[in-house]
Amino acid sequence: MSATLERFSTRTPSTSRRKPRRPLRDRLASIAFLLPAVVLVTLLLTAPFADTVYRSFFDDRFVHQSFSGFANYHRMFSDSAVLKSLLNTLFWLIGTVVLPIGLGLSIAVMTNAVKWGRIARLAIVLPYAISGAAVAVVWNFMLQSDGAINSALKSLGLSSLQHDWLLNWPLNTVVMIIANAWQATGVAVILFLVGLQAIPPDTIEASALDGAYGWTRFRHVVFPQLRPVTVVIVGISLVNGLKAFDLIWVLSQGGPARSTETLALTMYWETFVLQRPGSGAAVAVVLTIVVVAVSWFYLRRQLRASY
Amino acid sequence: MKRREFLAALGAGGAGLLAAGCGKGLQSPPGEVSFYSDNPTWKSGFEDASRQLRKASGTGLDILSVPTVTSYEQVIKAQLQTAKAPDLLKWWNGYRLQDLARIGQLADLTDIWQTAAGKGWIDPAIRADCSYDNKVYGLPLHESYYVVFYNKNIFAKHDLAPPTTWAEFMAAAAKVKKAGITPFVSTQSYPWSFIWFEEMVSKLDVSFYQKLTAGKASYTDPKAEHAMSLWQEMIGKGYFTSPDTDLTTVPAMMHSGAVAMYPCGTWNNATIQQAGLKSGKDFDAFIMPTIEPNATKSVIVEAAQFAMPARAPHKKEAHDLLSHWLDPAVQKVWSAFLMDSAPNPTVISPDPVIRNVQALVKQTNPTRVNRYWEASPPALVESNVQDLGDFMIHPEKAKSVLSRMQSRAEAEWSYWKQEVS
Repeated sequence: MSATLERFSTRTPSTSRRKPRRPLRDRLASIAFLLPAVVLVTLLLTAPFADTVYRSFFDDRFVHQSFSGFANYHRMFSDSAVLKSLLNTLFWLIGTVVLPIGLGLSIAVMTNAVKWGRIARLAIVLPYAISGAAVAVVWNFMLQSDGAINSALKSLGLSSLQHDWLLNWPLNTVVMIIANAWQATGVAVILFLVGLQAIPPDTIEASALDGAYGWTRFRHVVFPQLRPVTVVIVGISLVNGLKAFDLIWVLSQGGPARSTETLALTMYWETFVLQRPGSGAAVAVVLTIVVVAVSWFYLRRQLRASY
Repeated sequence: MKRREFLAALGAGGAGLLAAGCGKGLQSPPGEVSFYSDNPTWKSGFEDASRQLRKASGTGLDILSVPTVTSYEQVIKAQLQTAKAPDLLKWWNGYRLQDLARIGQLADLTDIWQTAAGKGWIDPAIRADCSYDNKVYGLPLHESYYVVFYNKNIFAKHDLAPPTTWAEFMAAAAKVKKAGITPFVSTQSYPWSFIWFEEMVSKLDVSFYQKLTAGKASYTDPKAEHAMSLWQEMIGKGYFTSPDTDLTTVPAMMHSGAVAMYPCGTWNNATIQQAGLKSGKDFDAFIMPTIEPNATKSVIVEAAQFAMPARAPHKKEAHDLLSHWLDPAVQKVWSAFLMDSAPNPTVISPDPVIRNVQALVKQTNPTRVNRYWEASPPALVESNVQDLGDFMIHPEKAKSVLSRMQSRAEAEWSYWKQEVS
């Protein structure tokens, strides 16, 4: 970190000098402009989070709660449904990063320079405009045991490939991640296209002169220049994976037997279905820790690397 | 308009909205009390009943619907703790009603019940399901029976009569299965996995079902295991629709003849008719027979409730209105809309299927037991229906599922007793 700061200060020596103190009027104006944002974040984010942390140390009563220490956390980690939910969250995390990014990058690269690319991209981007709940309804129609996919397989004489897609774990979680990728790939394609179009043509021409074509050009010239946009897409995908809710809720309500729950659903289930606000708060705190830890770890690495 | 003027106007508007949001009490039109329901499809029926109630009590209903059950529960539970409580609300009976009554959030309606019972306007057998601590906190909106709807055309084609014994019931299933028709509707889609469980256990031994749901018998009892093994056998024979069947598609499946029998509450009568089947002509209903011929006959009952919050802003008007709810003049209008059994036993439904069910209940006098969904503490039922769903997909897990349900029952009953003590 100190090396980074040193480099930064070498590049911009003027910033290391102490600035003259600004007039009071200016400082008050800055505070006035900052205040609405600070108040909103405090009221809508920090205070509820602090309250949730506090609530997680009390029992599940709605009135006259008693302090219960780490009992909610202990119960949470000894519940097999919650442990499966943690595992599913990990699946979602991997699936929502790997699939939309892999597919999004491939589609963007393959359709960027061809004439029919616009039509292909439109078809892939369109699902992004549909709400998660509507996507779930469509996929439910396809994935049910007597749904479109199994009917199509049967009519093609591929009955051996028929499955109860939504009934058995981990297949049900995997197909939900694929359904999510079908929708989420659209935004990755758009962002990668923006990245591709921002690549200076002279770098491509220079690589052609050096005899770099195909995979070599992509690997050593194009992909490194897509780094900033990849950072953004991975960040978005990580957050989407961790907050996955609507698609799962509409497709399976977390069932059967709570096998498709992610931590977001477990939090909802404990708090609103089982009416256990203390246990729900504990799940919310754990989910927040996971989200913050993953985001911090990822962004810290990426931001450090970008200096 | 200048930017500053625009921002000032926006701020004033926001402050006004905030003040209105923090205002006290729900604003219902004069002469009406606010009523929250989770069933938007009942709105026109409530409007018909409201006109009759206005004639009798001078007060009508201002109906508000929250269409999703889970959202509805949250909205109501949040509002009950504030000055914005509705005047009346639709709620479940049994332990779900007790869940609100035990923390003092509902008003005592015992006087209305007693007056209605004195006039013969209510079935005294269901009082316990509407009470907590011997006080009544809800008046039934309907009295739905869990019956087996069947496609009359399929039964006629295969020379079948509505079964009166378990052997006939199974023979009918075997016959239609042989003809390529799925005998029974069944789904684990939340929360409907309990339908077959409650039917199998109560038709095996209704007193065991009552003890089991009251926390006085074990899920690992040989009777529960026997009920599950019979159910397992039926799954093995391919008698049921796929466990992920969407119940909204079932009336269409009945209409197309893809499925022959559909065990469900009589509230589904209207939905089946909407799919194009004519009541009494294309479909009818029977009460599932007991598994042993000499077992006590029983029927599962579901009765959603009219309840009044303890903090209702217009308590007197709401109380007056409720005192007329069970009046036959109101119930006739309501029952005609509902195409289901009215809570007032003197009101005979105009619908042929419901009239037939009402006659069957009168004739066979089965023991009425509460639906599984309301018959035990909510947290226990919510989790047990998940396990039952697991069993429906993996019937070989019967014993481990029952064992999980029993462990949960022990924990949840202990929690419930601790809460109400």
